[in-house]
Amino acid sequence: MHKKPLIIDVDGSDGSLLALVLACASEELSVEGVTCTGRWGAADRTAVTVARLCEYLQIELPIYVGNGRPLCSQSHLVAQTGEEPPVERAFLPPAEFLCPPQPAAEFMAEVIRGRVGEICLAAVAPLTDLADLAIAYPQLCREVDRVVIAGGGTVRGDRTPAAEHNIWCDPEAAQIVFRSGLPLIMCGTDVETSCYMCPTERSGLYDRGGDIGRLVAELAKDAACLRRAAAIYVLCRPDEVNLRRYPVEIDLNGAYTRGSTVALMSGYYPDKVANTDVVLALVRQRFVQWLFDTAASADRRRQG
Amino acid sequence: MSRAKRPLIIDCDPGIDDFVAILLAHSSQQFDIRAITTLGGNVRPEYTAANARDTAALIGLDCAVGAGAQTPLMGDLITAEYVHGPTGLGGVQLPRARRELDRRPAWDILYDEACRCRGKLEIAALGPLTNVAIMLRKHPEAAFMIDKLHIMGGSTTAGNHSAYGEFNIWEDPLAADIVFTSGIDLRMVGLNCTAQGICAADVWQSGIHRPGAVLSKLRQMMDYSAEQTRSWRPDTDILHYVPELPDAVAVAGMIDDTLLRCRRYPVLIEVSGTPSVGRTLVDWDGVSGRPRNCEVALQVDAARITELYRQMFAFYEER
Repeated sequence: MHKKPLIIDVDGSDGSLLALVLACASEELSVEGVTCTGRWGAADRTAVTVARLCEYLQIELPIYVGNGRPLCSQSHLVAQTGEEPPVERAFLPPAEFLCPPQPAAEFMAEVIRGRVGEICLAAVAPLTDLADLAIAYPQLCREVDRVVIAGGGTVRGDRTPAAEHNIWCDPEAAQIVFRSGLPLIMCGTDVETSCYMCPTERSGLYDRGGDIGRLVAELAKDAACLRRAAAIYVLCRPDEVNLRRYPVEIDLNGAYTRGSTVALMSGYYPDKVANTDVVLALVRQRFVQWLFDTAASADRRRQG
Repeated sequence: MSRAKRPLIIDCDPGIDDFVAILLAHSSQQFDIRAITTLGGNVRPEYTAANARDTAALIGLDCAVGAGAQTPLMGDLITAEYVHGPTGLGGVQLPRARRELDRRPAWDILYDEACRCRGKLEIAALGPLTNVAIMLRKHPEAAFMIDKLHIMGGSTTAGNHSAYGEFNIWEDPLAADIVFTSGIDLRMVGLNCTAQGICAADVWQSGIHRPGAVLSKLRQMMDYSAEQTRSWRPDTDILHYVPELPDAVAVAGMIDDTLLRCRRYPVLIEVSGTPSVGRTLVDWDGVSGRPRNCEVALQVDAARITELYRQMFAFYEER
């Protein structure tokens, strides 16, 4: 079966690692490389975590490090401070990682140029790296097959009442991405209620065994993590999700709404162009089944 | 004893005053001009690239000319044809250069030369800062590989495109923010300063009437510029018209370091869409606690700049 080639951008959070594990485990996708972003200076640390994860999964992947700093200095203070201490992740083995000199955007451009119209991108992190790609390689934006963003939302935020975390961390990057001509699929808070595993499901996955199954159960902590997994699900099973195309832009200036995705969902705006497929709904049962099945088949491949 | 020439890249959006700035830089013979890079700004990017390419050929400057950003990072391109004419040089046609544009985008040319010049490269940024910002996003370490970035942009007082927005910063405030927070060694030559740096009328008028292909093209641009100015300021004296050439003042400050009086301050860029968008906010008293990231040009010696123009006209006579 022909696998869709994918480059995935992660920030080292549980959700982004879950998405990476599922992407590597899936039958439908072939991960060509990982680009890493993170809080100030933490892009390298994300890369080390990814290297350790690859060691655990017994796979070799090209890992590249993005800029790490948000586009606008307004976001720098937020990026420099931070409530979360670095996560230890004792269950991952140690691994060597040498930071490649090539910038992440250049790596992405090279892969895209080599296979025009084929490459998928998944951003399960703030959109800093995608924005750096869009500004340095503007003509390549239309030569990507599709770009799924785990973030945003048409009506709700999680970081603030309006703004979801991945957009909120770097709103200027999001503005650049949403204006870039990249073919976008936005999988955000609109599917929050479907991104849920009840405790019995989670422990069932863990108890069934298998390294991948246990890892997925471990990382599937909450809705935020599962929304990032859902971004990969959308790439693997596009006909199982309900999409609607809207014009979406980013609020950069609102006192309460900075960092939110603003979707024009009703009314007549003839000069606004629909630029994003928004994932409005997915069936929770089928999504969880996909998680189970993906982990199971990956574990079978590991043993066989 | 001859001093080694200073490696320089001019990043610009020609643009009548960019044209003069390039002429001035080349005539000083102080610089090894490694490249001219362009972007959309004063006029559309395809025109600024062609103008830079043809200007270099006209003055006998053999260097790479590369095109860069087509639009600002986040918004649509808004141009200033009402100042520079539809194609950027006041409707003046330059002979088409034989040399083609470099295949690399502007930001890659900037980075390649920064590496090649081993820390000695200087950049004169005379247009919006989009190209420099893209280079710094792609290669953050380049901020410390460049000797100095001289910007024509911003203002410590009023803007020209909005209340506090000087055109170059106003056109792409996010790019300016990226550059001003990158750690690069930075000098800002703003409108407050360039407004004082006008050549003496007699020197200018006699200079542009000297013989030579280059000066005849400049003279034609000045005819256009004078007419444009008269259209919104009817009392303009065409015969003694001397244009304000902000880009040339920035370059003059590079040629002669005593020409500008500068001081280091923290400078912040307002990126948000408010009436203050594009403002280069100078923290005079240090109340923000931010680092002094910028050498702000406060005053220019008009007599010294007149002298530089005098030398420029002598250089291009009969060329």
